[in-house]
Amino acid sequence: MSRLLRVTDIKVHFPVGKTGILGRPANYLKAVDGVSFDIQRGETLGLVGESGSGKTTLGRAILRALEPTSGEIVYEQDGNSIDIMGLNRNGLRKIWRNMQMIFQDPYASLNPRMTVQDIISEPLLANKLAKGKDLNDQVVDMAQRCGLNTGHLSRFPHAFSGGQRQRIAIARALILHPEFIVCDEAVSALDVSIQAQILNLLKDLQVELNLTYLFIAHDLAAVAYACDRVAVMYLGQIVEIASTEKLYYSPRHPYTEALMSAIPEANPEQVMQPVFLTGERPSPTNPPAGCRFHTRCKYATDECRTQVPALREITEGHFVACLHSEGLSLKGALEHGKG
Amino acid sequence: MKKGVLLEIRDLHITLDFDGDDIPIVQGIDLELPAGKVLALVGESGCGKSITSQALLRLLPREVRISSGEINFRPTEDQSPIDIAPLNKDGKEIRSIRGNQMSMIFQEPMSSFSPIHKIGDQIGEVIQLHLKVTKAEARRRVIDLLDKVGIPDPEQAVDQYPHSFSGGMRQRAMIAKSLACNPSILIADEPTTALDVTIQAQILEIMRNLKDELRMSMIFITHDLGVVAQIADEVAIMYMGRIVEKGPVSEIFNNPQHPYTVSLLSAIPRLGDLSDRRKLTSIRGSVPSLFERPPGCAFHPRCDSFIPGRCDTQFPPTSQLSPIHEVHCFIHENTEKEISS
Repeated sequence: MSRLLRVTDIKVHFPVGKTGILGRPANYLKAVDGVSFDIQRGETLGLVGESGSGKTTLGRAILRALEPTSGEIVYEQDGNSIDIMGLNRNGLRKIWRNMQMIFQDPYASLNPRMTVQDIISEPLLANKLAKGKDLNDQVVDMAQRCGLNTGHLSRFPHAFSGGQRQRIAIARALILHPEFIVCDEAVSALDVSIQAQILNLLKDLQVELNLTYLFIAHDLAAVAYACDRVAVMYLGQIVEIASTEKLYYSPRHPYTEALMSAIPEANPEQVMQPVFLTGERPSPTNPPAGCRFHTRCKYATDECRTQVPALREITEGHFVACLHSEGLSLKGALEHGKG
Repeated sequence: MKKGVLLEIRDLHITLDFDGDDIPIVQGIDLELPAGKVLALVGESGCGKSITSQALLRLLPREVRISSGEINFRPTEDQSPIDIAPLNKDGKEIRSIRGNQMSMIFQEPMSSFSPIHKIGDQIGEVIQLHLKVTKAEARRRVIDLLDKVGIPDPEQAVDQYPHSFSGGMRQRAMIAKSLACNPSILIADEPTTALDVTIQAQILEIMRNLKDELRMSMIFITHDLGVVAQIADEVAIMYMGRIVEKGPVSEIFNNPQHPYTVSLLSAIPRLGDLSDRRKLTSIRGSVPSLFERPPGCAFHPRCDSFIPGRCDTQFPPTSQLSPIHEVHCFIHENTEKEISS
C-alpha cells in the first residue's frame, strides 16, 4: 500500500473570551493539539474518542473545511506530493474533488428544496465537469451504485427515510470520483438494520471505487467492523494508533483500555467488567500538564504529571503515547470473556 | 394478577389523533414486569417503545391517547392492583404514583432539569411533594442520593446548578431524582444513548447495583442490543407497535425465533467475530411510516420467511414456544402444537 495522506503536527485552536483593549482572546480552546498520522491508499482509518476529544474538528481540518492553526497536510496524487496547507482557494477547490465528506445527520445535510437529482448533480455542475445527457447518466449510475431507486430521483429529500437519505449523501460525495472520504459519524443516527446496510454499502463502494476512508465514530463496535486501523483521541491528541485487532484486544494506553473494556457486547453471557476512569474530563482550554490523561489514569506516576509522552512506535505499526506502556498489562475488549 | 408481578399490561392500544383520524401506534401489547427484574423493550425508532413507557405514567403527548387495554400496577404484594389506563391523566391518583411509586429517567439529562434551580432543590422538591419531611431532612436525603449514584462531593454538588454538571453527572443526578421516593418501578427511556461509552458503562453499573442491592424493578427502553444483553433479565422485541417476541434475555440472544429478532441480531457489528470480518446481514428496506402500515404482520415486506396470503392478511397469534418464550410468527404456528401434544 502506498501513502495517500500525511498529517504532521496539526493544530486547531479556537479563541475563547476576549480581554484587553485590543480584544485579544483570553485563551485558546485547543480542539486539536499536535496530531500526526498517515493514511494508506485503500484503507479505512478509524478515529474514536469521547465527545469533545476533537475527532470531528480533526476530520474537517484535514480537508481544510475548517482552517487549521498550524501543521502540515500532504496529499499524494499521481506521484506528486501536494501541500494542502499551501493551496489557495482555487487549488483547494480542485483538490476537494478528491476529498469529500459524509455527515452524521442526513436530515440536516441535504437541502430540502432541491430534488435528489439536483443534489447529486450539484458537485458536477459546480465544477463544470458534466452537462446534459452525460450529467444525467453519471447521476443515474452513481444513484444505482448507492442503492437508490432511480425512478425516485425527481423527489425531494423529505420523501425518503433516514437510510435512503444517507445513500443520497453518499452518492453526492462520490459523484466526483474522489479518492478520500471523511465519514463523520456517518452511521450513528441510523437504526440498527439500516446501519448495517450503510456499513455494507461503504465497504462495497470502497472495493469498487478504490476509496480511502477516515471513519469518525463513537460506536466502537461499528468502528471495529469498518476499520483496518484505529486511532484513539483524548483531549485533542492521538494517544494510540494500531491495527484494529491490536488496538481492541491488546491496547497499550490506559485510556484505550477504559474505552475497550466498556463496550457492551451483545451477548448476555459476556458480562462487561469495565475499567472505570476517575474524575471528569478536563477542559481543552486548560489541559493538564505532562500527560493529559494523568488526572484520570490509575497508573499515573509523578513522571506523568510533568513529562509529556511522545507518540512512539512500540511494536511494528503500533504507536502509543504513554510513558509506562511497556510495564502495564491492560485489558482489551471482551477480556473478561477470555477467562 | 400473577404472584410476584408488579406491573401487568393487558391488550394495550395507543392511538394518535391525526386531524380527526385515529392512527394506531401501539396495537395490543401484553407485558408483565416481575418484581426485582429488568424488562427491556427493544426496537427501532417508531416501534412504539417510548410511547408505551410514557403511557405507563400517563405522560403521553396531547394528541396521543390510550384507546383500550389495562395497565395494572400493584406496588406491594398485599395491595390490590390499580388500573392506570382509565385514570384522569392530571388527577390525584396518577400524581401520587408518578415520581413516587413509579418514576422515569429520560434520554436527555440536559433538558430534564430546570437550568435556574439548584440540583438539590429540584430533587428535594420531589421528596417534599410526596413524603412528609422537613426541608432539612429532604436536603439530607438528597445528599445521600447523590452519594449513592456516585456524584463526588455530594455536600457541595447539592447547591450547584445543572450547567456545572457534565452529561454523565447530570444523568446520575437524574437517577438520584428518580430514586428520591424509593419507587417500586423505575422506567428508563434510552438512559445511556446520549452518553460516551465510558460514562455509559458507569451508568449501567449504577443501575445494575440498584437492581441487585435495592431489588429495584426496571423497564429499560433502548435500541442498543449491547446494552440489553448487559442489563436485562427479560426482553420484549417490538416492531411497529406490536411485540413480536419476548422471553428471558438468554433465550432472545441465544435462541431467537422471530425473523425480525434473528435479523436484528445478525445486523449488529460484534467484537467476537472481528477476525473473520463477515459482512453484516442487513434487513432490506426500512420501517414503513405509521400511515403506511402493512396489513397482517407489519414485518412481512422485509421478511425472508414471508408466506403470501397468510402473513399479509392476519397478525400471527401467540406461539408459546416454552412457558417463558413466546413469538408471533406463522412459521411457528405448529411448533406449539407439537409441544402441547
